[in-house]
Amino acid sequence: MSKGISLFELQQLFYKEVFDADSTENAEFYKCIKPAKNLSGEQSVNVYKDSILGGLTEALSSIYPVCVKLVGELFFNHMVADYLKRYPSGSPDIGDYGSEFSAYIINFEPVKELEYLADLVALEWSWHRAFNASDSPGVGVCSLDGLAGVAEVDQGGIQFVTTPSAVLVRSIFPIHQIWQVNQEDYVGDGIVNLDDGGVCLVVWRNAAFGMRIDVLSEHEFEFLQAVVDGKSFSEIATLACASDLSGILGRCMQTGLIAGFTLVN
Amino acid sequence: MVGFFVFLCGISMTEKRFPTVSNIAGAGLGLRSSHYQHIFETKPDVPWFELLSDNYLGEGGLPIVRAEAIRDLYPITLHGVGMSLGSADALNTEYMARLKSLADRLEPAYISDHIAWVSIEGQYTHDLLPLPYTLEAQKNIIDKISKAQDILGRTLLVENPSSYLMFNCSEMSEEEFVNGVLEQTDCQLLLDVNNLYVSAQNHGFNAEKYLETLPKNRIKEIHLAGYEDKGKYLFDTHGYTVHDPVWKLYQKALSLFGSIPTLIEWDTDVPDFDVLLGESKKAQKILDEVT
Amino acid sequence: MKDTKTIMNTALAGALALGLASVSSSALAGKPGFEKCQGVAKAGMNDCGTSKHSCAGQSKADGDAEEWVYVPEGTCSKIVGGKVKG
Repeated sequence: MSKGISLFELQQLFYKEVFDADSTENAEFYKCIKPAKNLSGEQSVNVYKDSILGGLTEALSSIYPVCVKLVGELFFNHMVADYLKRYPSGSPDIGDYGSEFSAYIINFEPVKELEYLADLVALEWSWHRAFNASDSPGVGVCSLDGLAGVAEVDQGGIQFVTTPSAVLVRSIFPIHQIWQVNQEDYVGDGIVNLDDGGVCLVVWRNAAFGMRIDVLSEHEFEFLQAVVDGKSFSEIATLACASDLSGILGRCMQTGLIAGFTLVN
Repeated sequence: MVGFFVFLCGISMTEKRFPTVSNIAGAGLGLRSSHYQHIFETKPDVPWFELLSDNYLGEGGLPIVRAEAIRDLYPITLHGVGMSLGSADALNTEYMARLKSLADRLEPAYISDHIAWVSIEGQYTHDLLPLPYTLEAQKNIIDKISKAQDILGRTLLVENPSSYLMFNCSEMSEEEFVNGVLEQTDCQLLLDVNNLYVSAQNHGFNAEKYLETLPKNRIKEIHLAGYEDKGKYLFDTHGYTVHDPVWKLYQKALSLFGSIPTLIEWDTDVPDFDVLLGESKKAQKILDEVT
Repeated sequence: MKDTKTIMNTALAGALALGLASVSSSALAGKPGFEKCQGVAKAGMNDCGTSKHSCAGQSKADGDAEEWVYVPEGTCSKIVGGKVKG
């Protein structure tokens, strides 16, 4: 009997019917609805189900276009159908959905042969996040112009700050090539040999809103990782990258990857 | 802000608590990302644009830069789906704060959302789902509209939904539900004439009679779009030009409510900008005939 | 081995001598990166979510996601080499 059901209970039942087809409570939900005049209960509910699941699938397709191309649309849609049921969307912004897709793929039996896929998906997520990241470092971050004025005795306490969009990605597979050959404007045979080996990358957005993927040397990656981890300049000066610190720092400052600094004691 | 809550005390629900900026008029268009470039290059003669607020809630990047560029050229409104006003969940204050900061930046004439729910227990469907028309659901959405208005510091417009099912537990019709919301809050109605037509056809109620029950001075914006006829039901895909019966219902609405700012929405298979422009000119012509 | 103070001092002086934040992207790792103006494609995530139903319109409701009869059949066939499992 649907009389007396609370709004909360009804919305819970609706949600379960969409995302958990096997729920024993679904029969209860069907008792509550009055379908459109020419539709059965199931047909009217399916209009919503298709719309919700289709909308979420489309959102993930637009965040992971290379993944779609790699596995094909049909396979992607079925892979996503399973993901949608396991990972609810926790944000009103649909652009926040899909962050766990890479983790999900790692344990996903049907793609276990495609060992590079999870890393590639992580790269696409980084791209998506960088697109919407903040334009400038937060308050309290000094502009690089101030670096020259830091007294020599205080230099060890410099903490560099990366531009907010920068995400470091590393893989034992050449995922940057896989990404590149699957872009719309790519011309070529599209063949990538996994034996080309791994790569260190930074995904970021420059000051002109250009989206970039840059290949990093081991030392550049180590330097930027240390910066992201909040290591001070004196700590960084003890790492392997210290052998070329002047060049690395110069390039990172020139490109805008390093966007500012703070001083710690 | 300190004086703000003091100001609320002792004011009856239907009185205006917030100033309503009304600088839009005529037939505007829903801004879609595929048209940015065309708009910046040709600066078409459109009286106003409606921006989808949910597209501009990121922390930075191009979207907000583009929104500001449009705002520099045209009056705008903000329209979204994220408030989940009809949900039994509390208002998502983080979302509302992001929306407020966007509104402070863009100064829209109106902010609108829907008489619907999109989330429950913090889980989002990203789709506009129907409400049971009960007193409990009505009180719930009234409370949440009031809280949303308090956070935004402005009057909200709420839109009537399109739907494909109703609930047995409903205690009133949709128009009674909507009218009750308007009576008990000071929000305004965004009348979606296409939604009304779709729902009336799907459920077999009389759309013209529904219109006649609405309070004349509370309708601040009208939406028009093209549904898809699926045979057994009408589907609100916003993928076509506006259909004839919807134009007819629109004329009826204008005859009742006067010359209300009107928006053309197109979301599925978005065509060339000129097709949209043609639709807005058509609406403008009908608006011009209203005395 | 140089002490860290010298390393820092030299690095800062050298880096600052290059000048700051010229947008022109000097290559990292000596290799050109990939740059894309992907604004238009990415900007409309919510374009399909607003006040309407189903952009997709594909029938998901009676999908058979549990039956994994599907195999990847996209460009992954062109990704060769690596630790191919027998």
